[in-house]
Amino acid sequence: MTVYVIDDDPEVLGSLGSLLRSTGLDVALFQTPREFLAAAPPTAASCLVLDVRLRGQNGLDFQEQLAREGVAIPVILITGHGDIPMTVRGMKAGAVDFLPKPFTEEQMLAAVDSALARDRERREHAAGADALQRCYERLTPREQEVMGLVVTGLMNKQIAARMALSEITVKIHRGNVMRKMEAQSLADLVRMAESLGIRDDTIHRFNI
Amino acid sequence: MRDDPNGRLLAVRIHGVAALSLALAVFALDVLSPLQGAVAVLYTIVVVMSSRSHDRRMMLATGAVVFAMAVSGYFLSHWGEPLGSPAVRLAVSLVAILITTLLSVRNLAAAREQRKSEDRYRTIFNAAGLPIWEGDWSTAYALLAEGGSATPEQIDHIARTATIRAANDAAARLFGLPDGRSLVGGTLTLHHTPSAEAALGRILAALVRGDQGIEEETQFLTASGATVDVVLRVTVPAGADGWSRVLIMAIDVTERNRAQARLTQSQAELTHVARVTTLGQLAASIAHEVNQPLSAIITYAKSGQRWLAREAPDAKEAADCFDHIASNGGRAAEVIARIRDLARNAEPRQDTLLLGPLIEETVALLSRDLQMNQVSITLGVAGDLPPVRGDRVQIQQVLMNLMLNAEQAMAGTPAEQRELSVEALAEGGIVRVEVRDRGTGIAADPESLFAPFFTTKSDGLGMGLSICRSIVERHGGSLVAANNPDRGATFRFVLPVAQAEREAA
Repeated sequence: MTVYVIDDDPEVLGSLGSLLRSTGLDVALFQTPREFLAAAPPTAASCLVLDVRLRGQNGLDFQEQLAREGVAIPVILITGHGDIPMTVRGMKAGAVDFLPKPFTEEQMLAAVDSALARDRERREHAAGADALQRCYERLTPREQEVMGLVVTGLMNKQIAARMALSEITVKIHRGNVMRKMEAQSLADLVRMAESLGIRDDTIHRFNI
Repeated sequence: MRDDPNGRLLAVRIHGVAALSLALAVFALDVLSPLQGAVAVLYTIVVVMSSRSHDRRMMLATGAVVFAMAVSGYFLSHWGEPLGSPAVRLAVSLVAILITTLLSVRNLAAAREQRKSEDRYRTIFNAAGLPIWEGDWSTAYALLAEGGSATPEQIDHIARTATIRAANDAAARLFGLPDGRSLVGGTLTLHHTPSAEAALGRILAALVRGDQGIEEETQFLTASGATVDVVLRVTVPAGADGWSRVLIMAIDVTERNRAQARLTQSQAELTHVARVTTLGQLAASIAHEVNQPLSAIITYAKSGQRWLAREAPDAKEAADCFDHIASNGGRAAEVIARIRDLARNAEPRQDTLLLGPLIEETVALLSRDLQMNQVSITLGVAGDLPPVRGDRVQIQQVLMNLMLNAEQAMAGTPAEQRELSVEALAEGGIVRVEVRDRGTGIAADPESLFAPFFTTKSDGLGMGLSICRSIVERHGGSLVAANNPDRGATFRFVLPVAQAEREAA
């Protein structure tokens, strides 16, 4: 759980660092976006506290650059009072929150908490999807085909007829699929197929 | 008649026949009468008659013919006689005929020259791009010849009797009429404005004084009811009948005046905008500069509290927070000190100033603005104001600010009661200036007006009076405000008299 902070004023940067550390969070402090990009990318849940006014660069431009490069880190914008109209742009570009200066430490800590929670959720979701994909790749092509037909709701007999196999063979394939995919029930398998996006493919291919 | 070629030809013929018959009659009289050649002088009448033809050759021919007739008449009557008094009489007649012919021919040339120059004048008059008209002001001359200036009634009478004798098309266009002829024979009373009446009065006074090159700027109404601004140039031609042919030239300056007004307006707006922007930007950047250390101080303080409130309080981290709080406090103080230095570097200049001319100049700068808002201004500047020491631009800024405030305070006052008065007088080592309005007065405590950010205007920054006071105080003076007993408010500032003056006093 790391909070990254980019602010060109070293004192403001240091004070935010001290505050976040006092609540037990890890912090990484940077005065420029370039230093942040040069550091190792975050591996655990994290968020970025970004000042809109940076020396030589607009924080909003940097935020958009991150989005273009696919760096999915929740951003909290901090702004002077004159920057608020600009910050609307930042919110549209997907910032989690923006705090006009001077903000209270409660506001900052609450914003960081919710940003971290959001990142944790995103990472878990991404991790789940990765695991499912790995299970699916363990299936043989035949098994994948059988899984596709099973989740469309066909009976073994119908699947056997479509694939020109015996019903026994289909049953064996089906058992393997359930085991390899770690599915508890047919409903479970259907849900997995949904998130992998294979059910639709099968429906199109076999005109079911 | 003169302009009709057929008519001219007929006239020449009639004259010709009359001259011929007269010549023959004289010849008969000369030959047949016992007057011994004295009659020959009458041939000069024939020559004069022929000059009416306005034809040089015709006149010379006539001269030659009557010369020959006089000579032949002599020989017919006195052939063979010894030379005597008839011959002398003939010689006199011949000289008379010669001289008359030559004079007639020369007169013709002079008349031609005159007509040419008359034509040239008319051409210039009609083709000139600027409006010109000739007015018959003989009534004015008759009224004013005894001296003295004209009363309004007299001016009115003069205006109604000053008929236009000629006008060019440009003049007609100026008054919004189709062509010059539509003005001729009439007067300009339809187009008069109060300003034109006043200008006419001034022009007449100047004419009576015998001034040359009289110029007046005034306003006329056009046929469509619009107003035009013109500069008039009035000339009375030399000669006894000059007053009946007064030449008036006009230059239309409506567009120039409008452009000038627009320019003044936009300059005023620009000045205001520039002042607001610089102040606004200055405030924003100062705010940012001070805000950074303050925000660090607050965050470090809160953070320090948290380090101490932990289950295992971390004294080292808390101490670090205190260090940073102290250094950021110093940083904020430094920003403030830099701003104060900046202000100190802009110390006011120490010119020797005369407030009287400065007040007049400031009023002149604002005159158009005051006129537009129908504010009448009265100046009461003592003649013997001693000079003060200070920065001309800054003192002018104070004057301008106070006058503009006064003007704005009277926005709700009926137009005829909008009076702004500026008075300046000296008393014991100081010069006092009072700017008085008849507006709404000051609702709050007068002192509160001078606090920074106090404003009663929707677009005010609330810095004007606060800055004015600091300028006056820097010059060693003071600025206060008070409500008038009847209505409105008075702003009073005093400035010390320049040192050298005080020692001399």
